[in-house]
Amino acid sequence: MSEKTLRCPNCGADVPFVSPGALVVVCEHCNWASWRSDVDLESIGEVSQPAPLASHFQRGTAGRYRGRSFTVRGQIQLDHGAGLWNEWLAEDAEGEWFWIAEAQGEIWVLEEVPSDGDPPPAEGEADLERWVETSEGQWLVAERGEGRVVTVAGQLPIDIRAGSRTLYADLQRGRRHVATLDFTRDPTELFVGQRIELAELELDPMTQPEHRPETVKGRRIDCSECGGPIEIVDPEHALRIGCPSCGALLEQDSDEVRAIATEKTSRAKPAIPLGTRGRLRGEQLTVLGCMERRVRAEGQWWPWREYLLRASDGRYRWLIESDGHWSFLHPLPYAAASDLIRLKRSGAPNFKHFTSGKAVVHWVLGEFYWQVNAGDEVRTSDFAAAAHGRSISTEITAKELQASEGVHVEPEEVAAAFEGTRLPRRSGVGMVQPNRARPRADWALYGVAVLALLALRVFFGITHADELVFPRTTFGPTPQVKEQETVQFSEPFEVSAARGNLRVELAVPGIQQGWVGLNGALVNMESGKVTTFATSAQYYSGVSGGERWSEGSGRGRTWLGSIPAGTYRLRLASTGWDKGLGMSYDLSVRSQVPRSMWLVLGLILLLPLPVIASVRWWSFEYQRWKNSDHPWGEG
Amino acid sequence: MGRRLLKWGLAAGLVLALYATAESRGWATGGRKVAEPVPHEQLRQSSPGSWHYVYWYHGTRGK
Repeated sequence: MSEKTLRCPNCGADVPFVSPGALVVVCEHCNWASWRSDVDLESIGEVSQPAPLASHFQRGTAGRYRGRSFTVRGQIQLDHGAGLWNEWLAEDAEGEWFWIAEAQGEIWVLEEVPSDGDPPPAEGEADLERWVETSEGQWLVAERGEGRVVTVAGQLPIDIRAGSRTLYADLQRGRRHVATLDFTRDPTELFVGQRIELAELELDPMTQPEHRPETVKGRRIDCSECGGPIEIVDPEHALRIGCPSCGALLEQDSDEVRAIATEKTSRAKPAIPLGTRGRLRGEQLTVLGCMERRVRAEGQWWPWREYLLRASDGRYRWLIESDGHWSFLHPLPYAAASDLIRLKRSGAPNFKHFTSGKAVVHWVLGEFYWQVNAGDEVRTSDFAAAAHGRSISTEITAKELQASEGVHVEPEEVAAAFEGTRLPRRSGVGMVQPNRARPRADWALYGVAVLALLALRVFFGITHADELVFPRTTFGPTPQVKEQETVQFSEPFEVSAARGNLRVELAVPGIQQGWVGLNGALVNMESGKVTTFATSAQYYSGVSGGERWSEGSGRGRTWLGSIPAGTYRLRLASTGWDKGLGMSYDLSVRSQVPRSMWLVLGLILLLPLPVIASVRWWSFEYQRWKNSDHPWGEG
Repeated sequence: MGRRLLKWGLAAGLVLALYATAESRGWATGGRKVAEPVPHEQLRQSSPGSWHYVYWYHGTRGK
């Protein structure tokens, strides 16, 4: 790329123009901003040096993004009222420019989209929480804000002046897609891009600055109220500090620290000491601050504590502790959170609404990257996918929509990650605490056991003889008088099975309104051993209340267990009742008959396992949802 | 899952073993074995009186 050199209108130093597209240039020697005309530079005015914020970029940083080699040419430093942030202008080898924005450890790459007769939504058409239509599709308006250009540096392809105000709307779609509507000029300018990981930019480390987020050094300050020492981990972003000694709320103003609320918000001790470093879920984290927030419901306050953590790459994480239950949260684009909640996909976590309310900051300790105050309010909603131990939390203020995704963390894991943690006592069931009961798995295993039992039943059905050892024979009649017995002996019969059962079957054909009872004895003819048994048959019917009824079938049977092989006779003493008196009856005996009762008994014996699991699961979930806006069994 | 499988393995194994034993050994609940053999002369008698002891003692009478 050819380089053209012009002279600075302020100091006369050479100002090289690498890019033909650069319109504004700031002299490296005297910080004089100039507008590039066709032949010369026209003065704009002096600009201040950018504040030395920790960054992955500086002017001259080179990299490669999706196959496009680029070099960072310019820098814009902005202030939206809650701290400074950098936007970098990079030019690729084709002379095309794109924007790299970095804030709170996130990196966005954006390119301007020409309007081509289809202008982007105007300021009044892009309200917060609204979906807007652009030439690049539909977007959710996730933030409305106003910023001020603090200073500019390097070379810029646009006419932008220090001190000018910008009015913007940040848009989101899904997890990665981002866009910005800039209402500063008319018509609205649309920038579209993606939220990316730093590695995707393939930066040349030789061109990166030394002062990067991972090299940030803490500093020690003294509380302006109590004089107590405060260790600040990330001084550049500590916009609000709650003194751990006296609880006073402080803010940094240049190098000064001054109290903005002398009211001591808290003397509470965080469970994890502030400033503690630890490793949780693969991330190196430092505990920056702790705040207690609470919602009011049913006439009382329901508090929880939020620990702000800073990852080594400058991104923020949260640990939430409520009633001794812990969740680890990372930021999630609101649009992505909305998709996760709204779209139900097979196998994906099903996020159900848990609670909504107005969360109020109760007290603040340690450092925070925004200007938090006790009493700050925000609309919150929590959604739980308890089966996956995951949650989504959304927060809505007048200016922005925020969301975070959380996972359940066992208290012991938190204690192991951060030395010195004093775990609060756990009570109740956490919002996404895993339910250890798995009734589905237990019912599935029960199904497997049922199949195994049925397979055994089939096996015995095949291998057992089910042999008729004493064919149906008529005996009787029963005596004509009640309380008398008619005694008869059967003919001898053989039982060949070594240790099978016997089924004695009684039938009284034609019995009506009567009962026949039988006291039997199975007598082994060789050993004289006797097995006694009893059975009966009856049949009664009638009409009662206009409805016909009947009782009994005229049949009866009984089972005799573990009968050795041998020759047997039956001794039968029969008696009758009602019209069962004087009736003949039939008797037969079968050997080695598979018995379904044992199968049923086996199924019943195993049933408590899935039933208990189901009860435990239900009880656990009942406790969980008791704390939500949708308690079980109500409404 | 490992503990659950172990628990189910033990419980289902026990039940399957009991079921297999019950079927193969012909377990039943309907008869009562008389502890001592009945003498041959008594076996041949058909009068109820001599058998009352056997029935009453072993509790099948009237069932």
